[in-house]
Amino acid sequence: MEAKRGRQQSTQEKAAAAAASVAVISLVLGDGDLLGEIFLRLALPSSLVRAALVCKRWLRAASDPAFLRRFRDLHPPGLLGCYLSIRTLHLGLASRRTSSSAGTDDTLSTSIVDCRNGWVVTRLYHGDQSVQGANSPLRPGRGMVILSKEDGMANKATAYVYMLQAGAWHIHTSATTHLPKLGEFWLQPLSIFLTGDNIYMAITMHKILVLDLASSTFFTVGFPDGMVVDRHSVLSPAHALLWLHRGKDGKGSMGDWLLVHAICLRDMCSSLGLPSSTTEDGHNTRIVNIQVLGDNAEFVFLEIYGWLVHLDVRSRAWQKVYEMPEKDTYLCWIHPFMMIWPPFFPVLEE
Amino acid sequence: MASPAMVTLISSDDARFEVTEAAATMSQTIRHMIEDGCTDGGIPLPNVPARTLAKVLEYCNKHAAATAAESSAAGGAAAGSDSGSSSSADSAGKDDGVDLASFDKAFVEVDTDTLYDLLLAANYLDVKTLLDLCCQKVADMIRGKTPEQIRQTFGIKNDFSPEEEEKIRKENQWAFE
Repeated sequence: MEAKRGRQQSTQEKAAAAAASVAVISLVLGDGDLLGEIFLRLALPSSLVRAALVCKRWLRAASDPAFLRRFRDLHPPGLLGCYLSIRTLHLGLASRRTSSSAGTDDTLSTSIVDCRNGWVVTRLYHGDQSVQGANSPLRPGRGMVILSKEDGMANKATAYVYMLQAGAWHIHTSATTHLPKLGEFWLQPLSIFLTGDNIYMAITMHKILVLDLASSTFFTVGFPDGMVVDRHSVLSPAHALLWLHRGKDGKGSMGDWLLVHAICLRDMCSSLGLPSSTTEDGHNTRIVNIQVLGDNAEFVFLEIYGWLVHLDVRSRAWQKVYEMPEKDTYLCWIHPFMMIWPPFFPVLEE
Repeated sequence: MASPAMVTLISSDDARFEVTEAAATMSQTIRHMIEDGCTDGGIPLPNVPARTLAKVLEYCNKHAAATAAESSAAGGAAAGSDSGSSSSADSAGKDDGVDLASFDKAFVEVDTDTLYDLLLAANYLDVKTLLDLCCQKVADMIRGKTPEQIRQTFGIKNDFSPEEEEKIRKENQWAFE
């Protein structure tokens, strides 16, 4: 009996305490600013998505654009893996293949064009025709969406920018430009990358082709003074220099270059246990290649002495990713596969 | 050594707390009040009850003392005082670093109500490091849980319709696997 009363009392106390704590919770967790501060410390996009599903108030805090920008600045999307043409890290790629009727040296019937926000853009070859499609390995069950038919490539470059809106792809903008000798002087291709409103998309011996998303126009920029440009490499042998292009200003100037990082390749090689001399075996023209530059220049994939090295530009940390199986292996392309960002939160009716 | 400057803080339930100015001014809110000369007869803090204020001051006292020890150790080394005393001050400083981290960890090992009170007080008093500490603790409690587990932990009511919940889940399936 005594025990029972005790239990009753404690239940009542618990109920009262719960009511009081609900009031405090709504003060703390209902405060959009404090909630944002807490969510910033979740660090992982997947934790943020789960928190957004708790209630409408939390969803509002998590989908606030200013909050999402801060979250991204603090926690840039992580690198989940990469696609290599050497097909060792082929992550569940679309299995749609057709045999090439020409069938000479290129037996691949699909190749990956780009990876963006969890989507993989693949070029599918049908004889000498090709189409591009997008699929999303992290969202299984969606299948592949065909994007466009490709025209033959000449001196004309056409860009179609697709945007994912409400689960469907729409053409956001498209633009065409003529660039003399576009095909002739193609360098080791850098990946297409986005900074701000510009997509940097093609690099030739003389020019970098940039698509301005705001005006749907192309412009070209030259290389910074003193940068070594040869057919395979845009690096001087001893240092990796990273320039940032500051873009166009309001007065119509083409902007200028800003040297932001100089990374000593010799130090990097020695810490990775790679031979540091650039001349000992006499084939120094293909020693260092930039393979991929991440968006906003957050990371670079470099090909050094048969190794693929990931260099985090912010922290200057480097890591061996992949060793070419043989000395003569030719790496056709590599596409980093990044964590999805931002999460897509549907707008709900209040 | 002169005795440190003291200020009086008054909680919402009229309890008075004597603290060093160094500890009190870890709060930007109190720092501004002192700068504005609003200290006569004590500084009223109408949003903070005594129970919470005592806890916040425990944090501020600990951190202000650690900062003072650190700067005196640095000062001693810079002035080139005899090696014996400077090395002992050094090791004291290092101990404080480890000590502070474990103090912080233990400090937020409290029930959720106390944690919320601390979070609100740290926000109102603008004690940045304490606010960081509390936010991180709440974030740690959210992380790794399913939405339903989070609701249970914090006693939050699910106000989504099943269709709405399904819609968000479908768009972000990758986050639930």
